[in-house]
Amino acid sequence: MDELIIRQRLKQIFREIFDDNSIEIADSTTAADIEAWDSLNHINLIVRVEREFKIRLSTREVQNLQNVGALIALIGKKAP
Amino acid sequence: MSFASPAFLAFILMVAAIYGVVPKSWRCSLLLIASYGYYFLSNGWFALLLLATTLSAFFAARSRSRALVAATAILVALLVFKSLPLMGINGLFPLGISYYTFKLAGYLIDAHWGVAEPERRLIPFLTYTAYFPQILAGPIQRAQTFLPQVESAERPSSSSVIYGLSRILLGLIKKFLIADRLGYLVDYIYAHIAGHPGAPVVLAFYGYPLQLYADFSALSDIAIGASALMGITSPENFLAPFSAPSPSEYWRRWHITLTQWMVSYVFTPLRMAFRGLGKFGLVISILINMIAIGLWHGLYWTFALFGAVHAIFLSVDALTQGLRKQWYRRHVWAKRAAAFIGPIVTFNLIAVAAVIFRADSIKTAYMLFSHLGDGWGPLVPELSSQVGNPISYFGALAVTFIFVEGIEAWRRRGHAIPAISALPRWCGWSIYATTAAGVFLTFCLLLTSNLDNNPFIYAVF
Repeated sequence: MDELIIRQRLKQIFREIFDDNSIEIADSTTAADIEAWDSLNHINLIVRVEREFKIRLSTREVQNLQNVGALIALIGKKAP
Repeated sequence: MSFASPAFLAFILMVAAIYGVVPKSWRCSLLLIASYGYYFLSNGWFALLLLATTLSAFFAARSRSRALVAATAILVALLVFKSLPLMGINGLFPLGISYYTFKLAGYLIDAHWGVAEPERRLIPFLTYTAYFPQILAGPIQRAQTFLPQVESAERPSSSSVIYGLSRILLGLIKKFLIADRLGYLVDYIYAHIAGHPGAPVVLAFYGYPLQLYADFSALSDIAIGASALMGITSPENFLAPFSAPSPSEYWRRWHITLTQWMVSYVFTPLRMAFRGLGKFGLVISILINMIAIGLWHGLYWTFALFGAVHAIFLSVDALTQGLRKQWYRRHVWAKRAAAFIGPIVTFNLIAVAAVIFRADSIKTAYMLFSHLGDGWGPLVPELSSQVGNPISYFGALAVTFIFVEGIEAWRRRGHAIPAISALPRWCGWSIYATTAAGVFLTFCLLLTSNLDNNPFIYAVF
């Protein structure tokens, strides 16, 4: 899937999950940059990503994610 | 050898002094010898168990499948040691096992997931688990942040040494002047709950969380300070936990290294496994995670209940988060009020759970709760018989508490100690000498005013 489309859809997901319409995402964005992105919300984000892009992520893949850039790359690799 | 004993203080100063002068290539080995020496003196031949466990983790981490088997075996071994008291076998508890097994299990699970490369050098790895400032009660530092520091073994800067000394001093003040003094009152009231009217019970209810915080954060302060003496950065374990406006925020500020460990290796895998179950999956993950945190302290019903009660707080917090946010958006006054009321409500919830944590049985906890509303009774004579003049007792406690919390807040705002290396040499050395002398003098004063030498609460878990 095209990276630009992933990025656009991911931004909408972030805004929805973290309930903040001003969120902008970059490759270097991490949980530390978004106040509501805590361990409770983290898997809500993953579940929403899985549903949106029709993919399935493993715990290992989720734990290996260092930042938004890594998430985009992972979606790009797995999404049909 | 307690962290607050003169022997330990002399020991860390001696090790730090040698660490500063020996060649770089010797430093890691020095820490290893000092750490095993400390462990052997404190816990005898259990040092061999520490060594064997660390060696098995070191070699197992090289294969992903073996890493998982070793992590499971290490956690099962911890469980076995924790269950010995239940079978009537006492005194067979290796010091710091709850901490070093968690360090190793985390390292192995990371190796299994491929999150971190396995360490190739044995001496830094052996030092990682045995590292004496952290062996007794953490912080549970991750291998990825610890190993590079002992491998490079930079000479500690004078700022780092001054910071370390002052952090140790802060810990000693917290331990002797807050934790032990409050503990004296709390212990007395817990031992005599049945005979007390309401007010002293209320004091124990609010006093214990404060005592626990002062006691445990003092241990962390000494551990972080001792590390700084050798130029090693240790993670923080506390971040003004009682200013947290919600239970979830509280857990991000209390015993941070344990909570982060649990989030990585218990909560997140559970959340992933139960993610198809929606909100029920969230609640069940929180419940298992919090009961596991409770039982980490010991396999007792009180600790399990402590975890379950916190799970209820966290679940309500998580499930109402969206609703609250919407409501605050519509009512700005409510948001302002919540910012003020939130920490008060949260502290009361923490105090409720702390009763269950402190009580020797659920029955004792129930007794304390049922005596909370007994009215005020003859408070002053009761207190005076235990602590002398209540005004000077509580006044001194409050002043000390505000003082240490003020210093902590100042430090957290990034007011670091200025670089002493930038000052003229004579000026740097006089600051250095004055701080060291200050630590010693204050320590002697604290020790002579407190001869009971109460053990640290978290050093037994």
